[in-house]
Amino acid sequence: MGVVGRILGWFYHRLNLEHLPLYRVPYNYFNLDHWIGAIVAAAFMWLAITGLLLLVYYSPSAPYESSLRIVNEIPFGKILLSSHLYAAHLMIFSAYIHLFRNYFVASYKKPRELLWIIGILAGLLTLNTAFLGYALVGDIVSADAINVGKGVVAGIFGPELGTFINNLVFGTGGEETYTRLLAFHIISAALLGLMFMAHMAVFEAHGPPPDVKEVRWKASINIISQDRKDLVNWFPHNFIFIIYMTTAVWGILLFLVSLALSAGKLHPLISPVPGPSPTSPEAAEHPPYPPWFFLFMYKVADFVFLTLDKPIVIDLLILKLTIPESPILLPFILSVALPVLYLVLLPFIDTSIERHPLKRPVITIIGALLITYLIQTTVWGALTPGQHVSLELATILMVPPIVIIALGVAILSKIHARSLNNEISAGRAFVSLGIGSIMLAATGFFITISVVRSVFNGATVEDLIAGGLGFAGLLLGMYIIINFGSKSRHTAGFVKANIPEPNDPVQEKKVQETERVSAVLKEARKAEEEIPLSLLIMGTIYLVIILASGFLLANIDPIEKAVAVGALMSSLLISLGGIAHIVHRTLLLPYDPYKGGWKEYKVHTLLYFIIFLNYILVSINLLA
Amino acid sequence: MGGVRFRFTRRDFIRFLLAAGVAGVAGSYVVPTTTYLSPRVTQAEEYPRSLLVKSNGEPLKASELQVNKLYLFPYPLKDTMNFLINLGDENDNPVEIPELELPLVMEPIVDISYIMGGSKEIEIPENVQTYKFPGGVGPNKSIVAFNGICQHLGCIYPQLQYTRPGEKTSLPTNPPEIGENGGVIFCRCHGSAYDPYRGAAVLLEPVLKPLPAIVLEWDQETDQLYAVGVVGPVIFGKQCNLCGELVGDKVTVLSEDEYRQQGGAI
Repeated sequence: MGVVGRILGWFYHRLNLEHLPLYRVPYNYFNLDHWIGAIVAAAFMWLAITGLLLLVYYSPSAPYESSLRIVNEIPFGKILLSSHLYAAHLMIFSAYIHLFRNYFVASYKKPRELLWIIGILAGLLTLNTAFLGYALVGDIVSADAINVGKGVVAGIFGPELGTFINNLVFGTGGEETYTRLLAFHIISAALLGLMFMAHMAVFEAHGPPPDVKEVRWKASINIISQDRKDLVNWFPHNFIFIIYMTTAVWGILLFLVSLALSAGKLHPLISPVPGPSPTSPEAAEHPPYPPWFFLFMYKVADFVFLTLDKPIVIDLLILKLTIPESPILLPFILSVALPVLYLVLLPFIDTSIERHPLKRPVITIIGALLITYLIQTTVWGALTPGQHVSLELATILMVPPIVIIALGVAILSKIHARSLNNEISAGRAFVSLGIGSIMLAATGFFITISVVRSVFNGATVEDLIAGGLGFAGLLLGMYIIINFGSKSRHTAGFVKANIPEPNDPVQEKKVQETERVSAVLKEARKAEEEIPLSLLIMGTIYLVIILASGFLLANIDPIEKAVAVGALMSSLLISLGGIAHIVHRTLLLPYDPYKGGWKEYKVHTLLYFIIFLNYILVSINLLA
Repeated sequence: MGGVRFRFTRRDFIRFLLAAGVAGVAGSYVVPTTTYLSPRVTQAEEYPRSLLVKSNGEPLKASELQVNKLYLFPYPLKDTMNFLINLGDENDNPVEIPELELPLVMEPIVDISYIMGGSKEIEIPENVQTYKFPGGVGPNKSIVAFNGICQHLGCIYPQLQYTRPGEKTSLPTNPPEIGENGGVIFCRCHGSAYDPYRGAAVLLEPVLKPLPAIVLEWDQETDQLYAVGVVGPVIFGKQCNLCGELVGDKVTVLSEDEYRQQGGAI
């Protein structure tokens, strides 16, 4: 053993890395399906790092000027500020994916209720931090955010409590506003960090839920027994995979930032740099948008029929409540408070042992509707900002999804139940389900459009597009439904979907698995030496890219060539991610021998492709 | 001998790739991070020419300066405060301050003949650069200005203070005459002392450099004073004397009392 090996061994033993008290998972759990949360975490880490660095130059006494100075005058400042913004977008977007993935496979069931609730609250805190963050920039979006934010708070909490909260968060004006926003942005982010730690701590209490196929979509046995023989140690397996996920996510994020920066002036919703100053003439041409993640609430606020135009007095026996008039209270309750309340209570509403979406159809319908309305109102808000929506229009555009989704899921549930009873092959059943639901959705789409056109003339083309795109959400929901149960990847010889339910599938499977894995482990030593040459070559290419990108990065002007800087920083991280994935793959060789072929290369194909695109950006930027 | 077999397996190569990759990426990110974090120093080309004005905004007349009293003003940067003194003897008669060549780094003065008005000059060590202290200005050539940031570890007024001549001190200067009889700039932080009558040359360690001198100009016709430059060592704590936010063409001179009332802020 060489010196390096001895030093690493010293750390390995002193830190007791072999016996870390962290949940061990089966070797075949290292895929995107089980690791969406890692995208959220990686984006959050990037936000923390870049946010602390931005603090060095941001000045609440000159918010807009200091933001522009960071973008235009400080070396690497443009990449830093833009990637901070895009990381926030990525974090929110991937948090939604994380939420709905776990919603549809029922990861919230006993004993993970607390994990779920902490996750929902962390999501709310993420949106809160994002609001306080984009209000800091000092551009027109930020100025609007502060004014509208105050109005929303006042509208929700009433004049007295609302004013108190507004003074607390926004101060009484001038420089104090931005100083307070900065402080609360950081406080909110720090609380989010604590929530993240709590989320991980509660996660470790029971580990991830078993893959749905291992337990035949049942939550009756809902933890991964730590006696199984196909488990791998947290170190190095999870550790290496975390490095892979984190660096790959950061790399892709920086690629998107560089791409956006190279594209010139972008639509305000996705522009990576601060918008015009609120006092400039361009501000008048700027659409009155919040960032995309608040568009849904923004559109619901246009539902004028939800305005409370006079106070409502609720006379209870001992308590007399007066709700003051407010344009925003009902929209807020409908678009935020009720969905959040539902999601928080979900683990206590859906307490069955079923995890399959089609065996808990009501939950699935509500989930598909949440997605549909989220997309629908977001697109609607982007297309027709600030235009009033009447009760008739809202009904025409928002009721059909309820009918179609409810009918669709009901039919799918019936077919699903029959296909299992009649021992039809799962594959065929789901193909027919897929075709059926697409036809269903498409029919609904065209019917709705023709209905809207003939019955309601007041709708604009944009309204129609928004309504139609709402059905894209429906399609997505259907796809998710269909997707479960149809795929057999990563089942690694576990239960086939068309076998009738045995008494205890897990126990049976465990016996099979134990035999299989012990045989595999005998081959482990052999596999050690059977690391395929292709992995070594790919790794060497990654290392060459790292060295070349590092060299270029140190030799270009960081202010003039911000796009190239971002693309090179992206290439560095993506290459490291590629190496980490190679290490991960070689660690799994004893369990999962190298098969070659497309599946072995697909991650690297993606990574190399992004590096290739990065270098195109670098070339264009350096030659310009 | 010969029993050690060195095998470099494919797994070793993979490990090497990971280590080199981590080192390469971390190393490549060091330069951007430090470049980003390094403050951008704005460096002016030349010293501003700043008229000294009173706190009411009117130009300061040289003849109005009380003898042996400490005044403070910022120059050449907004955050570099200086001492302005109209030097005199024990009876407050102005004393003419001559030009002097001073070393940038020096041992404390210990030669009594020099201090008592003898002819021997300050010893200039070999290989040490020197600069010319311009001497006093004004009607009696008695007005001098020094940077008020101690060259030892950067203490400022009121830790760095001026003791008028004739005021007894307990400074352990060698010889004792000059320190004991006052007329020194003394730092309470670590006991350094400077001789304002001789270009703020070092009287007491631990400091090794004289205080930088502010070059003053006196307009004989109007009796007004201008600060026009800095000579001597670089102002303590600054990358260069012009690295930072420059003062304008007028700087306000405050007496000790005014300075204290304003809490040190100008």
